[in-house]
Amino acid sequence: MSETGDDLPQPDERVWREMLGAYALGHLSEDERREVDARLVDSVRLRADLDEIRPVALALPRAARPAATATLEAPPPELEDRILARIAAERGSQASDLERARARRQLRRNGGIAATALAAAAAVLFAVAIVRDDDDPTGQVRQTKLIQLAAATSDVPAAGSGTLIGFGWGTQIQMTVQGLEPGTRYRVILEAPGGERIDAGTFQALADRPVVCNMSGDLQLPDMGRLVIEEATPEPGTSGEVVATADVVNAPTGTTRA
Amino acid sequence: MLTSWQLDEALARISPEHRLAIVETHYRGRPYAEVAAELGVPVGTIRSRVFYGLRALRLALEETGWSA
Repeated sequence: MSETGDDLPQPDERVWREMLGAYALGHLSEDERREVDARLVDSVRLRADLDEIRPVALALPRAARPAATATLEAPPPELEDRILARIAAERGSQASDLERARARRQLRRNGGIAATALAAAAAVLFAVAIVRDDDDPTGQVRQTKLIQLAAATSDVPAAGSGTLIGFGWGTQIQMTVQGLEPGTRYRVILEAPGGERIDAGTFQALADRPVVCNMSGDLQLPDMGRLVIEEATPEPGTSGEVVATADVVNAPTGTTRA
Repeated sequence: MLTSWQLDEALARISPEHRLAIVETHYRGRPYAEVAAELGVPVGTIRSRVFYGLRALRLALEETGWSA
């Protein structure tokens, strides 16, 4: 188990549910994520719990400046000026009077709680705010996209949604798919706008429940045009009928910490 | 689309425990075990706070006009 895990071989429903926060935020290890994936397949309730928090988890990294910090300590007196100077340096004239007033308000709201933690948290939060997808000096910020699957043929009422997570090595896919032909094998393709196709693997549709997929392919997320689900053909290099696609170019984008 | 103003407000509205769990693990990228040890609680408690914190955050965000 990773740092996020408890050594609970058979967690009850409540424990599984509580793992979903870390799952949705991408904090779990591969093994833990697979365990949760497997549990999600069997539990309608768990999927409903995930659906409830997933939009927030995806939206969180999109926020530009989470100033409302949770802390145990009060800020040092010079922190406000330091943060405001940092904002001004990064944003230039964009650091408006309104933003300054808001920052002051937030800092005061947190008064009474101890200094070091707030200083550290605020500095990091503002650093997160300032960092854009493509210029994170630590390389720890990764891009995510929230995709919606749409049926490509009236014969197969495919539907679903998921998250694409961009890494240096390629793209990880976490998605839930339903409406496919039970027992049929499908292939997931990551497709670049120029037509390059990367095979992300296959899965088999289930009879009475959605498929929770966790796959990956070595196409960089910013280079991806769409995700394609097609029937898997036995002959290597051939394409089956496309049953669903997801627009990646126009999908909502966020960043999250690796 | 979530704005920084909405997130500021929503984070301020949820409980300090939930806020701390989300900020420390997600924005600061700290290990759950480290945060748990610092607060003197089990790792499972931090996980729980992250989960329920996200639920609370959704409600708080919706109060600001954000929709999923």
